[in-house]
Amino acid sequence: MKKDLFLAVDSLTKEYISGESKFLALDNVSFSVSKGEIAVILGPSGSGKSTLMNIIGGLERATSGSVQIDGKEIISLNSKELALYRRNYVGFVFQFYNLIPNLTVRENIEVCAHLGTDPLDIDFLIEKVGLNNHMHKYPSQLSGGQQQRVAIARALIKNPKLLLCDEPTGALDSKTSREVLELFEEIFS
Amino acid sequence: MRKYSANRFYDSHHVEDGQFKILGKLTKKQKLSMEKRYNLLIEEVKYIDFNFNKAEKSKEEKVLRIFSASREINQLAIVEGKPVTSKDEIVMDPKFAKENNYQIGDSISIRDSHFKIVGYGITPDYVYVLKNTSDFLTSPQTFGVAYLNEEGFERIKTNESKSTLYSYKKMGNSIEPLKKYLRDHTILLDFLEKKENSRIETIFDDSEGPKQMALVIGLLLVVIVAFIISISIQNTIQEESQTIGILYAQGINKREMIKHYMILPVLLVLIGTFIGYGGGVLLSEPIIILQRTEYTVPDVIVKDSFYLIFIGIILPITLAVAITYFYLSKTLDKTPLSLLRGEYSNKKVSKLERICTFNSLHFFPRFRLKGMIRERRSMLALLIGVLLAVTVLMASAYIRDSCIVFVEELIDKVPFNYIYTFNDPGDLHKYSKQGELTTIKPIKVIINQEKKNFTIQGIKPDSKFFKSEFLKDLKENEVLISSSILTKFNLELGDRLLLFDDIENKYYEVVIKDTSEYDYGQYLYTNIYIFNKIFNIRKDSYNALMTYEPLDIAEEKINSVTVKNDMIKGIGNLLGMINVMSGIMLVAAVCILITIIYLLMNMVINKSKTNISMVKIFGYSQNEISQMYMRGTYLFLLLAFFGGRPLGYIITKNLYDGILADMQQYVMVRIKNLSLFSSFIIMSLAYFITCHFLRKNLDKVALTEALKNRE
Repeated sequence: MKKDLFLAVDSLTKEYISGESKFLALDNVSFSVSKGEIAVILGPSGSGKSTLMNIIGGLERATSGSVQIDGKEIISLNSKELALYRRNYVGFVFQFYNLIPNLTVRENIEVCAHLGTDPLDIDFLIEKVGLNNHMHKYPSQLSGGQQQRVAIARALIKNPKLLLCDEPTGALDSKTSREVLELFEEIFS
Repeated sequence: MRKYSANRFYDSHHVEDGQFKILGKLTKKQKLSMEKRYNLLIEEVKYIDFNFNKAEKSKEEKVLRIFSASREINQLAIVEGKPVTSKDEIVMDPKFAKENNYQIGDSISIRDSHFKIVGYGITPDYVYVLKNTSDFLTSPQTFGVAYLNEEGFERIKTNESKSTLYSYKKMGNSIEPLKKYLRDHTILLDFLEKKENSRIETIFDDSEGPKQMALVIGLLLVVIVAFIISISIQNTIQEESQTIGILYAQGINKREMIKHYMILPVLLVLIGTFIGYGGGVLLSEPIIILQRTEYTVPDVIVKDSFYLIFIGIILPITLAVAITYFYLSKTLDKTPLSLLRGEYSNKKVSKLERICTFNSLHFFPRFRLKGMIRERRSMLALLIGVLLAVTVLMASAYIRDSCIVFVEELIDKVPFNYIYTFNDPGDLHKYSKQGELTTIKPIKVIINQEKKNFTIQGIKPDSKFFKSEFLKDLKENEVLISSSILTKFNLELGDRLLLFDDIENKYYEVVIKDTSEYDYGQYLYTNIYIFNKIFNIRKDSYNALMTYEPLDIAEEKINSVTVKNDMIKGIGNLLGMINVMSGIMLVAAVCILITIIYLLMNMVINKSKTNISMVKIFGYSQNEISQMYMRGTYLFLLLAFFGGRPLGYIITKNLYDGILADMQQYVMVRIKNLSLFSSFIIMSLAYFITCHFLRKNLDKVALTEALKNRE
């Protein structure tokens, strides 16, 4: 194992069984990502990208194989341990923003501020994602791009060790998609 | 139902319109002349009081009042067995028989004559078997009635009674001329109209209180259920709003949509109503049996009167369907475009939510309060439902405790063990050394233009029985009253009371000086000197004897005797009924509480599934999630507890006011601290058990729920 290796996926397989039919979503997948690295997973629709992200994020269980985060195996964790893993390690950004409709922008970000041990400053983050003037608005008052910015800030607030973004621009138009990607670039630079 | 049965019984067995007692007897000529002149039927009531404690050498005072059953008025109805046909047969009141183990076929010896019990039966004037009409409760262990035929009665009768009781049935309207005639031509001892006779009327009083309470609670429950159904439908429509928009756009109209969404709730309401009605009928059986422990009404049947069908079936269905239709119609009253645009989706934030920001609070309390504001309709239904359940719970505790405390206090509130009145005033002085002389006088007190039956008692100021300092200090026209009676009639110290003696046809006025620590009925107490002065009676005149020990005296010499132990036993009987009623209320309260919390909170969980799934993804633990989504509702329980207590008090007070309206007693509504604490624990336990099951539903919300496309 390399010294700065953070994520190591080895021979990961995921099989869905529905009645008598089986569907192999992931077949013996192996790769690794080092600390500070941005990895992009590309593939056609139905190739198992989301399944892979979900397993790495502790949302789904693998059929076989290994996923090590910072040297710790997560495949064998029970649901309580997985919740703790998600809490301490992972930030998620999904294609659909899933903001809580009755909470303001600031509150939607605040939901996750209480989870990490070393959270980022909420005002700094709101400024960073360019929502200073919208922080007291509700999700229904924002555009798709703005909502995704809130979702990104929400994922980042707890200062996660691993940020998983599953098609974060999938629901956005090309202009807004570019803006969101530029935001990621800015945050990680 | 009971009212119906009692009325039917009274009509078919010619209940009296009243009764009067005179010294001596009416002559045949007098009787005929009165009947003709006042358009009445007058009948002598032949009875003797047979004292068992002598016959059985029992220490307990046990009295069987034996009547001649050959009567036109107050005819005997047989509950079981057969009527008396020979001079050796007797019919007994079923409660006395049951309590004293007399079976049909058994023999009973009365004044050296033997009688065979051939049946159980009752007359309309003893439906509520009170020894004295001023008594509060029955005591079938120690007092009952029995009936012989004319020849049988001749075998046991004595001629020692100097007074005669008559019952009358009127054909005309006014009885005032009759009263006047009796006052002028006889020595009238007592006159009691049917409406004032607690043996006949009590059965009507106490059915109204529980009936009204059950009706209000039942209707509130139906409204809450209808409201829950409406919220559930609205939630479904919100979820399906875009699909509905598409269907609208394709030509399906509102009426068809209403029909579609109404089928399930209508079906549920129909099934629920019929099951509930059936359950109610089944449950009413034991309650009727329970009522039979208090009253004897032959042929009590559960009657499917239109009223019951209306209340039990038509009203709940109409109410539930109407409320559901109203909300459904309002919800579906949207244009296809607005539905397609998702304007009715649950992503919208209302004005109220924008106002209630709770910015000064920490995040989690703010999160919970905002959630409640968002689900305000469910929360309102939850609050009303929980308040209703807690009110029933508190009322159950109040009803039970009031009765228990009454029994506990009664022992100290009756200063004598026996109080006797005699047929012959000479006997009073003969036995006076065995107790303390006193005077009791039935009197009407005019309260709110109504004549209420009271008893006024004159007591020696240095009484060994009444250890009241106030008695000595009373001045002219001043009386004491028990605090419970003060409460019953909303009286105050210093109030002037107008008394009416309907035998003498005279009015008197007294002033309430203070409350008395003694309380054994609707009594006014004063010292004997003031009493004699008020009623203009000569000094040293008494008519009753209070004793600690029973007198060794022939029963025919006694006009009436009130026994402290009988009062306590009577209350014990009532307590049995109250305990069952309170138990049923407790179970109902817990069931309502659990059902309402479960249904509404489960709806909130279902509606917030995506958000719950999201916070799970973020890494919140199950415990934290249940705190975020459920803990806040405990606040409603606390609110309901504080609101339910006064409401429970009001319900209980109304209930007892109804039950005791024409009884010469009052039960103060009280609750013990232990019951208050137990009610809180029961309520909290029901809540936490429900939350435990709800938590399982919360745990079942899948992590993948948030990953579904919902934008």
